Order: sequence, then structure tokens, then C-alpha cells
Amino acid sequence: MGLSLRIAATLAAAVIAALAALWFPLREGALAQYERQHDTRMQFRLQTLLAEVENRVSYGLDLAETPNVQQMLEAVRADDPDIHAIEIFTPEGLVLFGTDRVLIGDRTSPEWLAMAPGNAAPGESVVGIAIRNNLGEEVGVLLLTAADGIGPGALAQGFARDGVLVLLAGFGLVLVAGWLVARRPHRDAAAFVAGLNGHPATGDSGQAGARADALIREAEAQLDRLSQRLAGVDDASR
Amino acid sequence: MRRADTRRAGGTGLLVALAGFVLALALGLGLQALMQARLDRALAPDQAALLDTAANVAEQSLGRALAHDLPVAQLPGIEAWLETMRGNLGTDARIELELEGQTFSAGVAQAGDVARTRTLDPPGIDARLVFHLPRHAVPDGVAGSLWYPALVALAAALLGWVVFRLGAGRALVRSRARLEQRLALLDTGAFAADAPDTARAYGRMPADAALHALALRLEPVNLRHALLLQHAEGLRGIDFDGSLGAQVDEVLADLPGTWRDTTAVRR
Repeated sequence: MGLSLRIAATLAAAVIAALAALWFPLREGALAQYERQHDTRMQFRLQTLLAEVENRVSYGLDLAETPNVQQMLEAVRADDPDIHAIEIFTPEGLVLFGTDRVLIGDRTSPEWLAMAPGNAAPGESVVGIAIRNNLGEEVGVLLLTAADGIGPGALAQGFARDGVLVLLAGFGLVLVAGWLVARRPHRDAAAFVAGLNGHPATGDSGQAGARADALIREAEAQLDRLSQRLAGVDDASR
Repeated sequence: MRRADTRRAGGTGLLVALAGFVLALALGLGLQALMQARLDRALAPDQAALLDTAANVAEQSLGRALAHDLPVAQLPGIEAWLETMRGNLGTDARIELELEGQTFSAGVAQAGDVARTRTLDPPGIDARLVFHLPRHAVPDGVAGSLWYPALVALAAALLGWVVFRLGAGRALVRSRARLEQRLALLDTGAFAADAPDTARAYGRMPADAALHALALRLEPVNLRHALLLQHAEGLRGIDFDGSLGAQVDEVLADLPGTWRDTTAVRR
């Protein structure tokens, strides 16, 4: 492998290591930031909903009898297209209110309720929070299901494409850099060869070539002289 | 001579390190910018929806407060309410509520923040909510900071230098040493060209190409030398009384240098 390619390979190793050292933490940090921002939005929505519901519960009514909760949930759902569903359950798992009215009156288990935030369908996330009355007693559970947006999977794939794109660009740049860095040793060698072949000498290498050329010419001249002397001996012997 | 070789290779090594630094920094910043832009694009809908939600909540709260016919200036705890909203938004952003010409705020805006405005529509009131948000979402961890690519580029420069010294740099020094050694022998009169198998064993460094050119240049000299020796052998072959051989020896005594085989040149 020539010097340019060897230097390019050296640079490629260094650049690949550098990009890997940058890409992995960037990817992890960006995905964490994305999750955090998404969670913040969901939590904000959930907290504001919770404040509204608890505000109504604070009048002393039973959660099931609290007025306008169903309308409020439907208004919030209509306001944000990313929200897929909002449901309010009793702690025992009975659906009291829900944006999907068909589910109202259905019953699920408290265990399912507890596990629901971690069991979202692909492309969705579910957050949940307990609803408490003035006495701090848990009177219900609020569950909010929303779209994941672009989704961490698609974002991670995008980051992989970015990495490949930069690597491809880097590959071309590394070849150019290898050629540029190797130019000086190549120029030295070319100057030596030019000096050796009798062309004007430039730099130390050119002078070294010119000196080798002079030595060789001197040797050739001496060989010519010796050949002539031998020819003279030959002629004299006849 | 060897010191000069090492110095030259060291210069090339520094160039490799510099190139490694520049490439790693440029590509690293490019990668950071690409990933940053992608993250910004991914977060934009969530952020816009979050601000819309915050604006809706603010609008509803204001509407309820104003339903009691309180003058705007007498609404209690607006700044504390904004501070709570800021906490719920999980941001360091500054939030301003412009209400009938009065401005209430929470948090401090940073240089480079971008203002995003949501107009509120409580009945009969001119109100706007302005969020001063960072221009870019900074990824969690060290990789989102600007100094990290510079640090990584420095590490790449060091790695490039070490790999060069252990690989191409060593081959470069060796090839230059081979050439210098051959030139030193030439100074002593060793004009014999390398044997073909030795010439084939040259590496692919620039100095090896120079060494190969030297070997080519020496071939005609070697040919003349061989012809001279053949001529001398011929004369010795027809030497019947010994007088011719003595004259031939006298001529050959003036041969340049040692003409010794230089295939033993250390590589």
C-alpha cells in the first residue's frame, strides 16, 4: 500500500474512532432529551387535567357524580390530535369517564391499571396519575394515551443515517488529506529522481540525486577510459 | 543522517496529527449539527403542542379569574402562577404574560433564546403569552456541548499520530534509511546495482521509488563494467606469454570503487 493510502487509512482509523466517540453519546443524549421533552408534554397535560378534575372533586362530590368531567376530557382530546384517549377509572378499575364512550362502565383490574403506563402499544405512550380528594384519599386514576410523535425508533434511525452520511463524506476527505500529507515525501523522492536524471536540483533531495548522478557519470567516464585503455592493449597485442 | 530521517518522519507525523484533528473536528461538528437539527425537528411538534397546551391552560385560568370581574391589575399571584407553569413545563425558559399592556414574567431569558408567542383569547381582554426558549434542544450529557467535539478531535489527532508512528511512519523512516544507506555506499564507489529480486522487494514508500530509480540508473554502468570485465577476460584468454595479462591487471587496478555486491544493504 502506498504512503498516501497508508496515511489515509491511519486518518480513517482516527476519524472513525472520533466519530464513534461523538455519535454514541450524542445519540443517547438526544434520545434521552427527546424522551424527556415528550414526557414533559404528557406530564404537563396530565397535571393540568388532574388539577381540573381534583378542583371539581374538591367540592365534595363523588368522582362519578362530578359534572362536566366527560365534556372536559372530550374537549381536551379534541384540542390535541396527538392525544388518543383519556380515561378516568375508579381505583378498582371501573371506567367512569373516557373519550371513547363505549368503554364507560367497563371494568379492568387494579393490577392492569398499575401496569398500564408501561404497556403502551407501539407508537403510543401512556401516563397515569392518581386522583385524590381533599382528604388525600385516592378516588380515581387518570390515564392519558398519546402518540409518540416521530418516535425514538425513527429518530435513532435518522441518527444512524446522519452517521453514515458523515462517514461517507469523511471517507472522501480522508483520501484527500492522505494525498496532501504524503505530497512532501513524494516531492522529495521526485526531486531526488529529477536530480539523478540530470534535471535541475531542488532542495536537499534534489541535491542528493544530483550528487549521485555526478558520481555515476564519473564512474561511467572512468569505465569509458578504462575500456579505451583495454582496447589499446588489445590493439597493441595484434 | 538517521536523525534527519526521523525528523522528517516526525514532521509528517505532525501533519498526520494536524489532519486528524482538523478532519475529526470538522466532521464531528458536522455530525453534531446534523443530529442537532434532526433532534430539533423531532422535538418541534412536541414543543409547539406543549406551548399550545400551556396557552390553553392559561386562557382557561384567565377566563375563570376574569369571570369574577376583577380588574387585571388586581388578579392575585400571576407571577407565582407563571412560575408554577414554568416548573410544570420543565424548562429554564422565561415566560411572559402580556395582559392589557402589563407584563408579568417568570424566569430569565438567555442570550440566543427564541421568543414563541401564543395569543390568548379570554373574553374582552388583550392577552399574549411569550415563551423565551433556547434556540436548540441540547442533548443530555456531555456530547451536546461544544467543547466535546474539540476534545474528541484532540484525541483523534493523538491516535492518528500514534498509529502513524507505529505503521506508515516506521515504514517511511525505514525506506529513507535504505536510500540514505545506498547513497552512502555509492559515495564509497559501490556502483553495483541491486539484484532483480532485491529490487522487487522494495517497499512502496516514496524513497523506495527513488531507490528503484537509482537501481535503474546504475544498470548501464553495471553493463559497461560487465563488458569491461568480459573484454579483460578475452584478452587474458589470448595471453600466451603473460605480458598481456599484466597490462590488463594494470588497467583493472584503476576500476572505480569497490564494485562490491550491494544486495547486502540492510533493510
